[in-house]
Parts: sequence; structure tokens; C-alpha cells
Amino acid sequence: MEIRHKLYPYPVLSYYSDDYVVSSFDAVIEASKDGHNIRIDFLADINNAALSDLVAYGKAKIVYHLECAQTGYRNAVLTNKNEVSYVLDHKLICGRLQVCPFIVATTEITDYVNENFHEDYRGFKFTIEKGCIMAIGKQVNIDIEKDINDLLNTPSVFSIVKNTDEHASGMIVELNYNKILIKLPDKDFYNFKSLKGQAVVQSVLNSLVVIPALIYALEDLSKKSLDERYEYSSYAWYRAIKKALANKFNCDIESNEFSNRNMLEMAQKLINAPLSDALQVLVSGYTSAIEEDDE
Amino acid sequence: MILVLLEENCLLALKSNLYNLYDKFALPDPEWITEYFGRSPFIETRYSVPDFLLDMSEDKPHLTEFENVRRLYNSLSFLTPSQASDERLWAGLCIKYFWTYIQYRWNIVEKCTVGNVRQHFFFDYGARRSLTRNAISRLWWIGRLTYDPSRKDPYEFTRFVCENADYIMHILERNTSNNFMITRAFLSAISTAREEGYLINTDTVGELSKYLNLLGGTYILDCLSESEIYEKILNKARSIKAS
Repeated sequence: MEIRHKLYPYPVLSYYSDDYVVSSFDAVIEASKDGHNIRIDFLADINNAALSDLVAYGKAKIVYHLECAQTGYRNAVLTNKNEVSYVLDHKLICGRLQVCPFIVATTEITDYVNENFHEDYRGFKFTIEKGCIMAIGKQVNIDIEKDINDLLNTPSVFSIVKNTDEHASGMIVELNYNKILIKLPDKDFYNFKSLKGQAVVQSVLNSLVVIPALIYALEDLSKKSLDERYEYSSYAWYRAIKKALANKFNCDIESNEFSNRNMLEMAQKLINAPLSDALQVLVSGYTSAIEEDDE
Repeated sequence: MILVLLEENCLLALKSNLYNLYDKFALPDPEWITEYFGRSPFIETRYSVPDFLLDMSEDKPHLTEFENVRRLYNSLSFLTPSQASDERLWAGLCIKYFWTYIQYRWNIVEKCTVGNVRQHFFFDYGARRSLTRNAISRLWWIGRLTYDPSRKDPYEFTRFVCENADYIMHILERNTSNNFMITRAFLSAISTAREEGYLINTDTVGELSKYLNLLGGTYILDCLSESEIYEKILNKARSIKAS
């Protein structure tokens, strides 16, 4: 479920409307690991006495609507407590979990009035049907990173494949997949393939192929608006880079500050600055390694 | 039959080069893929199931939908939703075991386009819609979203949605179908309406789906009881006939 800024035929307390004054509803939603499962801690904050009373008297409940589009998971956690935890079976979810907090009427509420209604609603009474939304908090998206792969492990964020377009003459990088896709022309791909099994030349391959691709990806992201950038967050490569940038550079990829960073420098550091090793291999190591293999 | 994944690098290589490769998906077998990569593109999972075949006996392939959902879901119902949302699994099964079935069901030989190959052998839409468009994951997810062990015939709802591909689109490709309580209420109401003699066809099912969507904008449906949703849908079904 995506929270949309909809209008209702009765006042709804939300962060995007002024149906209520001096009132608020929101929730702090935090996810953590519970074994392989996902534990979600909810802490609701209702700043409106009448709505708090409805929850306390069982006429309404705080509802956390959970939905994972990728696995078709959908559930609602109903509670009358401000603080609650919920453990979600990891087998039911994968990718993004959307969490939407609401206050929902759990029985028909007649003659509903609230002293904090906007003045336009003053003097009116409303009937709120069971199941209707009375307050809306901010949606939180949780990107589930699994320690275990359900079927197998696939760690890298790069995928290097052959470009079957015989007219292709250079490297192409595509970002609309779960991994950063690097397409190489036929001959280059086979040369790459013949080298990639040799540990000694990894730094060379990283310098020649991976670093430019990563710079391309970072530059592409930096040119996008924050909303456009966020659209990449369903891809595993994006989440992996987001996490690495936060850990290594204390840099939030979904901030304006990210765009001011030096992408060349960050890309090199993210791949453990392979250039120096690569040059060293080319100067000495690789030649001797080949000679040793030949013996 | 050992369940296999299509190795991710191979999957990406095939998908990103489909404009040059799509016509090969009309060939009688997928051997060219092994030749293309110079090795097997498959990785075996830890799951093995008794061999089974899909029905290809009807002149109109969509008439096999229910039977094939039943066969496939009976064999693979142990998969978790998380596992069953993995494109590598379904692309692997499509190519290794069900190549001929996909050509039959989706007329790939005559309609061999990039779009058809992409959506029926791989995932080509958003995460949710792809599940019911890939030829094999579609069969599993129809089963998953409609199988009801509490009914005398657990496949009763499955049989109904497989009557028409539009039913699958109207009912199972909406987010409301993610909560089985809502789906069951919806399909039970349609079933009752049909028993009462009301006309149920793609138009009415489409209209009822729109109505359910409308209800979802008014209520948090997950907070209503199954009987409340059932009543609302049934009343609407009766009113469609009346109007």
C-alpha cells in the first residue's frame, strides 16, 4: 500500500492536511533481525486527546499495514498500545516491505466530533464506519536484506556479460537490473573471461572494468533528483552501495550532499583502490605469474 | 526433477541481449543456451520433486490453465513466497523443463517477439505483476492465491479464476489479492451470486474488482471481517444485475 494524499468526506488527521489543528499522529518504525526473521518495533505517538480515547476505549485501533509487493504479502497489525513489536517470518517477504500507520475505526462511531477539527468542520458531526481511516502517519519502506539467500548465494553487485550486438565497440553499463550490468563486446568478453579466474589480475580487471562502471553508476545517481534516486532502491546493487557509502563515508546516498562528493575517489575506495596493485602486477607480478604457469 | 536456477549472470546476459536472441526462443529446444554460454547456465537447488508434465492436450491452450495450475502447485506448494518470487527459479524452470509448454501456451513460435519472450520466460513487469505473467510462476501463484484447504474442493476458486485470463488479471493482479481473507470473501461472493443466477462474466467480474478497489480506498479492508467484505461484494453483484 502506498499512502496517497487523498481527501476524505470527513476529517482525517494526517501530516499532509489541515483537517485537524494542533494535533498529530505518527509512528517510529524500526526493523531489526530476529534470527533470520524480521522484528519490527512500532512506537506510535498520538497527539490528540479524543483520538487517543477512541483507541483506549476500543472504538479505534492503531493499525500498521504491512505489504510486500514482491512476495504478495499483506497483513495488518492491530493494537491499542502505543508500543508494540511484531516478528515477521522471513520466508514471507523479500525486497521491500511497505509499512503504513493508521488509526482505524473498529466499530461504527456515530456523532463523531473532535475539538481540534479545523474550523471549517466545527459544528459538524460525522458517522465513521468500521474500517474507515481516522488518522494517517508517514509511510516507512523497509528494504529487507537477507543474510541467507533462499535458494543460493549470489554476493557480487556486478554482472559482466557478453554484448551480442556485433556492432558494439565499447563497454556498456546498464543499471535497471538487480546488479550493475556491464556488457562487453564479444572479443573483450572472452578476454575478460579468460583472465577473471586468475586471482593475480583481479586488481587489473577491477581497474579496467569495474571502477569505470561504478563511477558511471555513481555519476548517474548524482545527476538524479532524490525521488528519482529512490526509485533505484528496489535494486540490490543500489542497496549494497547505499550501505557501503553509509558505512565507509558516512554518506547518505539519498541526500543532496551525495551529489557534491567526488565519485572517482569514492568508487576507488569502494573497490579498495585497486590501481596501485594493478600497476604493480603489470610491471612485475603478472609476467612472472604467466611464466610460472607455463613451466 | 531437480529444481534449478538460471544463474544470475546468465539471466542478465539473456535478458539484456534479447533483441539479438529472441528468435532463438522459437527453436525446438533450449540447447543453444548451453552452447551460447559454453557451459550449463543452471545451478541446482537443494530441492528435488517427482517428475511431472504439464498438459498440452487442448487446441486452445488457455483451457489447460486450471489443470496445469493443479499439477504444478501440487508438486511445488512447499516453496515459500520468498523463494517463489525469485526470477532465477522461474526462468530456470521455464528454460530447462518447460520450454515446449511455454511455446505451446503462449504461442511463442508464431508470436516470437522480444516482449512475449521477456514476459513469459522471464520477469518483465513490476515485482508483483511479473509473478502472474511468467509462464510457470503464473501457475504457482494462481495456486498460491486461490488454493483454499478449508473448502470441500480446495481448488474451487482456482477453477473459477482459470475460466478466463481476464479473471486472473482482474482478481489476482490487484494488491487486494495479497490478503487471502479478502480474496476468499470476494470469490465466495461471486460464487454465491452465480449460484443465485446472476450473470458472472468478464464485465461483471471487472466491475466487481473495481468496486473492491474502491472499497480499498475507503476502508482498510484488512480491518473488516471476511463476512463484511463478502456482504458488500455480494450486494454489489446483485445490484449490477438489477441495474
